[in-house]
Amino acid sequence: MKKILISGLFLILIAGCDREIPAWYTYIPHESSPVVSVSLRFDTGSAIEPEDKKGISRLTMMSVLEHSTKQTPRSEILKELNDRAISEQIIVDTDVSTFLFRLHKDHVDAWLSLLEQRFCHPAFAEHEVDLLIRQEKERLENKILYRSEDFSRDVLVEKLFSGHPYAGLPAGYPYTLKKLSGEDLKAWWEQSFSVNNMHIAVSGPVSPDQQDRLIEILSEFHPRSHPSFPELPQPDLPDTIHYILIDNGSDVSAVCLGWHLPFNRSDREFYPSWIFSSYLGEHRTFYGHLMKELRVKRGFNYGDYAYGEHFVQNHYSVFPQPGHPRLYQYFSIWIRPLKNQNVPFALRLVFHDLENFRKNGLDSLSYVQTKDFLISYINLYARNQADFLSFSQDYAYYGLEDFPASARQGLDSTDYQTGQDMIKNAIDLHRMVVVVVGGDTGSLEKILTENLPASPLYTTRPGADVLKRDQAIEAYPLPSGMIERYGTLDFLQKH
Amino acid sequence: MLMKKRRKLSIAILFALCFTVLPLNATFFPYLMYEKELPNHMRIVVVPIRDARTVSFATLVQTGSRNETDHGYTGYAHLLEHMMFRGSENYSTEDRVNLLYRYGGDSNAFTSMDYTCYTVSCDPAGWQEVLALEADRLMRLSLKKEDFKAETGAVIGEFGISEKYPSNRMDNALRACMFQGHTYEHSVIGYREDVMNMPDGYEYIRDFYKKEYRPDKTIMFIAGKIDRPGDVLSKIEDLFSGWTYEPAPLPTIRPSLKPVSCQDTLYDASIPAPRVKIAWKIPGYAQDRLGHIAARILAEHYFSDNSPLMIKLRDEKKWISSGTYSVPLTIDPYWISLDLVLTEEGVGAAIGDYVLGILQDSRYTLKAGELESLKKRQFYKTHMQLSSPSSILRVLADYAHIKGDPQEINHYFLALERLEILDIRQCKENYLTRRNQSELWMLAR
Repeated sequence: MKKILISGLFLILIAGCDREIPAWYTYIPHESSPVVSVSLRFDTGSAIEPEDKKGISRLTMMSVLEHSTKQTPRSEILKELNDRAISEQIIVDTDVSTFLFRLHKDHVDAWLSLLEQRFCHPAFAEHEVDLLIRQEKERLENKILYRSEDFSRDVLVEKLFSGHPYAGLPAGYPYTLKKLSGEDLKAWWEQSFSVNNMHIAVSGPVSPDQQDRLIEILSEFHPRSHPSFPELPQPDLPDTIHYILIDNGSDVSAVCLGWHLPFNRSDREFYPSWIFSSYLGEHRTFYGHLMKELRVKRGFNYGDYAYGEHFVQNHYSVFPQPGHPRLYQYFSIWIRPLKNQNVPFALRLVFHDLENFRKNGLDSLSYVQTKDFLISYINLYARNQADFLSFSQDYAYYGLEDFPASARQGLDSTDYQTGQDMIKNAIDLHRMVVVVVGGDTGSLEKILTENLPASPLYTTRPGADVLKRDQAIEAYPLPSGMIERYGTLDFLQKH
Repeated sequence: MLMKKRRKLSIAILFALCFTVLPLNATFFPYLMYEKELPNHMRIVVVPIRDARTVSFATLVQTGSRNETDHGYTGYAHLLEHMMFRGSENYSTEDRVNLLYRYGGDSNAFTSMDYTCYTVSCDPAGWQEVLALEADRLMRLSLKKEDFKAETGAVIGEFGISEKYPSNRMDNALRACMFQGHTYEHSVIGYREDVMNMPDGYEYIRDFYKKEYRPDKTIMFIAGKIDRPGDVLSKIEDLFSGWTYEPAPLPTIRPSLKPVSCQDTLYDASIPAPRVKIAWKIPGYAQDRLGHIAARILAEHYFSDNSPLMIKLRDEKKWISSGTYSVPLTIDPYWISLDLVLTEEGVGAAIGDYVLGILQDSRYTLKAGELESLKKRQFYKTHMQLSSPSSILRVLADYAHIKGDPQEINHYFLALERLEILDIRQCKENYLTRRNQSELWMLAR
């Protein structure tokens, strides 16, 4: 695996410019739009946060954007931003942290002033930081209590990367956030964010003078700080299957499961595995094998998807959010809430079919069709030019040029037979983590422990072919492994 | 050859002259819009976007939970949206999936109170086939019984996901009180009992589809990489020419602006923080465009994160940790709602009275200069949303759903431009009053 730092991977074009363009600056013309887009990325993230300060990068970036500076109160900054409808977003992940900006070309000068003030003179006022912590803590607690699906996916990552820097969530935990202060955030800002670990991509109608000004501001951004990102250790693989059952007393259960992948987007092996995950179920689409089996044929739930790398949904779209490139990746499957009684059957179906794919791979037609689908589908990833810039930076992280062309090349680079072998090798049925967040976990534990039969519960009886296949699935033994049971309150108290 | 090219060019110009709404400086919407109404009253809108790499479709059907007038059958507009993915006469579910798959398509949908919108984005090479696919399900949906039964399971699953969220529980409780007698009293997904009974609603959904999905309630929008908009308009006209318009009476939905003041408290020991929701009934956009827009401006003035009221509640009184507001763009009277997450100090406080006091205090009244800033803010905010073919269509559809007019976005911003302080004052005096203010609390105990 390789991680290549971004440097000059984009075409740098600044018309009429005779100054030296720093290596961290990229301009991509996009004159047909009145919108200016900026993706400002730092090589820092939750992986280097101390255990007891998880979430500090995110909190720091939020405070810089939303709070008072030494000269200007928060209310004035917000008014300036609101009146101009300037869109600002932060994305924090394990390895990188990104500020995304979108603004109308009429407001570039005003935004540059706001950027300078906030980046160079943030106040980190304690009362504002306290309030932010309270809001974030409440958001995290709500997720544990009410958002069983998001919560289950967080637990999956925590358990899969147990003991590794990736185990801590970029958003942090209620117990880590509440210990942080404005002073901590200030120190973290100065130590982890600097012109020396930064890359900026700009696109849209920005004049050469405005670009000069932006470069000038950022050149003076913590120039004496040299943040380093230490080499991350290989994660330890689980020794067996770990079932994590978390009881929230609900009628329905959210399920997700995953295993480590020994490659990432920079490796050839990634692309057949990506094809396989897409075949199993592209996020919130009807195309996937799992969706057809669990929702379309059996009416079990709302959706069932698979992911060939760490996935975060981009707002309300169905596409991935940029800003999450990771050195160490994992494969995951997400079964959306289904009746508690159907969890054992759904798990058996997933294991049964994964075993089948591990033995036989994907048929050639499905392989080619899925590959062709992805080649077109990737064109839809970027919701706007800021997303496009940020995806390009993700690809640069992996040493790949030219998003999305390099993804298409990657997909085309492996023939079917080689791809088959790579898919089979990438399925690890013996060292995975399965997380269930729902009700009646006691019964599920018993079924898992004793491998008891559990017939599916149907709203309406499906066709004979489905029922016949059900028999084979019901007889499939659930793989034995370690079982841990918790209540959601355990997580609230622990966290 | 040259002749042929010239002929094509003149046809394109003709289309442009016939259907284009121009120009930029006279309207808000910054793209060229080709628009046509078919003899069956279905409307088509084509928006070519320079530099686009994809093509997007948005089919708007003016049917949402608002149209669910029959007792015991709430949630059927949303259920029908699910069924629209379950195959049509000429395309099975499998055919649909395979066709969209071939063009790297994203096909999705959402149902709101007022309308349902079906979206597809895909490779431009697939536009004709995708159009045929969309036309078939609009006119000839299969609605097979076994598919219906299976799909009700998916909806029950979706219901299970959302019913626990504190914000949804509060919305549902307040809505039921404030809009009693109007279909806005129930949520889009429907009442629990009705959702659980959906597996027995097969006959009903067939009637609902026949009654609600008709050409005069449908607008198809297409945007993105479109070289010849005239070809797209002709193709759509061909495809939908067989969809006959049969005038049939639709149930009457009577809007009511009668002031209402609901007060209640829900208890849940597990919530991480107490909350209060304060809401005011405001005019629907269809009946009072200016009044509705004035209410939106007032909400932004008083309740945005940075307003004096929110700063007082959060930073001075320390009653809340955060607050958000919403003013959905609705046909009939709905609400401005203010959702506050409380601190411990805020639990016993008379927050509703305090908010009302600020609303009535002349020191905080919206000034002319502030109104102009807020107008600009809305202008830029909406402009920034027009970032891709699919997002452009989402914005267009949201405005068009009210009266079925694709130009509504331009009407809205024209009305906004003309809005005066007097309109704002009148709106505040009429609607942001004690007798029109409702409150719902959610406390641990």
